[in-house]
Amino acid sequence: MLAAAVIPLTSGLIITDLATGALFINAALVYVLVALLMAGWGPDGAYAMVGGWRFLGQLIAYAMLIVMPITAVVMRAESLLTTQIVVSQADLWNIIYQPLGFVLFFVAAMALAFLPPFDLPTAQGELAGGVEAEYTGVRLAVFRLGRLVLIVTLATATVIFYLGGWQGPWLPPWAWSAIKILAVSVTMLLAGRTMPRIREEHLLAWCWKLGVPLALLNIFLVGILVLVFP
Amino acid sequence: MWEQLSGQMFFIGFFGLAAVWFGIVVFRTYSMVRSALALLFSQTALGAMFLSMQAEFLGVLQIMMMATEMSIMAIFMVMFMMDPGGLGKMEMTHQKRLSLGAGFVSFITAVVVAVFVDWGPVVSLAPDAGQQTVDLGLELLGRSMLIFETAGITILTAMIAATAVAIKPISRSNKHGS
Repeated sequence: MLAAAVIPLTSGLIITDLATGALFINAALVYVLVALLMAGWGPDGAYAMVGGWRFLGQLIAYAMLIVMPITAVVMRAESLLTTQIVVSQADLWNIIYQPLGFVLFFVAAMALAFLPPFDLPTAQGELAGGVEAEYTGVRLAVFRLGRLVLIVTLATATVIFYLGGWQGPWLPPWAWSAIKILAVSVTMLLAGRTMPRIREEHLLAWCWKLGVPLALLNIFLVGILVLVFP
Repeated sequence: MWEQLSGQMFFIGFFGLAAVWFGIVVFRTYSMVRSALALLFSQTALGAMFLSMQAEFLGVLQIMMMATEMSIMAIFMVMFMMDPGGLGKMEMTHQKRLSLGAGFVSFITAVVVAVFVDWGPVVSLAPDAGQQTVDLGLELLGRSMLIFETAGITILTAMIAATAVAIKPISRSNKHGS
């Protein structure tokens, strides 16, 4: 919810256009980690606790793949203002300008929202719900509602970082924002449905051994592009 | 006196007290996880103090970094301690006399430095957040670069070393599956 406060839906439709907006989004998203760790550890149960610690390991790895692609986006915009990031994509969206960053960010966003195939903290088959295992009724509803808000926030962040935000022909800006956010949210929810759940050690190994070097390569490539085509 | 108390001063004081209180809670609890979370809240309150002092970039950075760092600390504690998942009780203080002495000396040193160092004139109007970020970037990539790079590499080395120590060595027989 806090991250959503600095994400613009149109050029004027933003709660607060912070000068550190892109950094603030990351700061707010990191607290998902703390929330899930507390939710898993709090009930004093084995499955929930394992789910919480799993997510901690998962997110320490994937937080890098959130922040490093954002760094490359900010490099192109030369600003942390989220509105400025959207304006910087007027000629060419970042999904074309830095496709590697988009892929890394999208995968990391799915891992952050623990959507399949990254749903290790709530793994139904092996942890009987994991972090969710000990919650019922209103608490479970709030937990799941929070996760849906998180997915929409991440989809909105993807739209402003890589898909040109509210920009598009013919339709009004708010309509473009709505269409893009809906499309990204649906893609996030459906993308992993048919995939088997990734094993914890494979997830971490892919992130640290493949994801982080690729994110550094992305920053390097964008740096060259920014210098060559200012 | 109360008329002079601005909203900014109030929030600096409030978050300062919160930071100190959660710092005390770190040692008053009997759980690794509670202790780590208390330290996180203490550091987050420091980030809120930065925000109260109009240092937006530093405040947001502090709030972001500390969530990750305290979580990493918690996972390292769980890796090394004989306490599965941090669910058990544990005494969070060790070598109490030495710790109290070291804490007292550090406190006095910090007060002396804060009071007696000439910090230069106080800026009457803080530059806007964007300018602060630019200034900070130039500072970090200028005269402070060596200090920060050294600190960063030292921390990274310590983390890699700690992880290497925590990994159970694979014996030759296990390697071949026997």
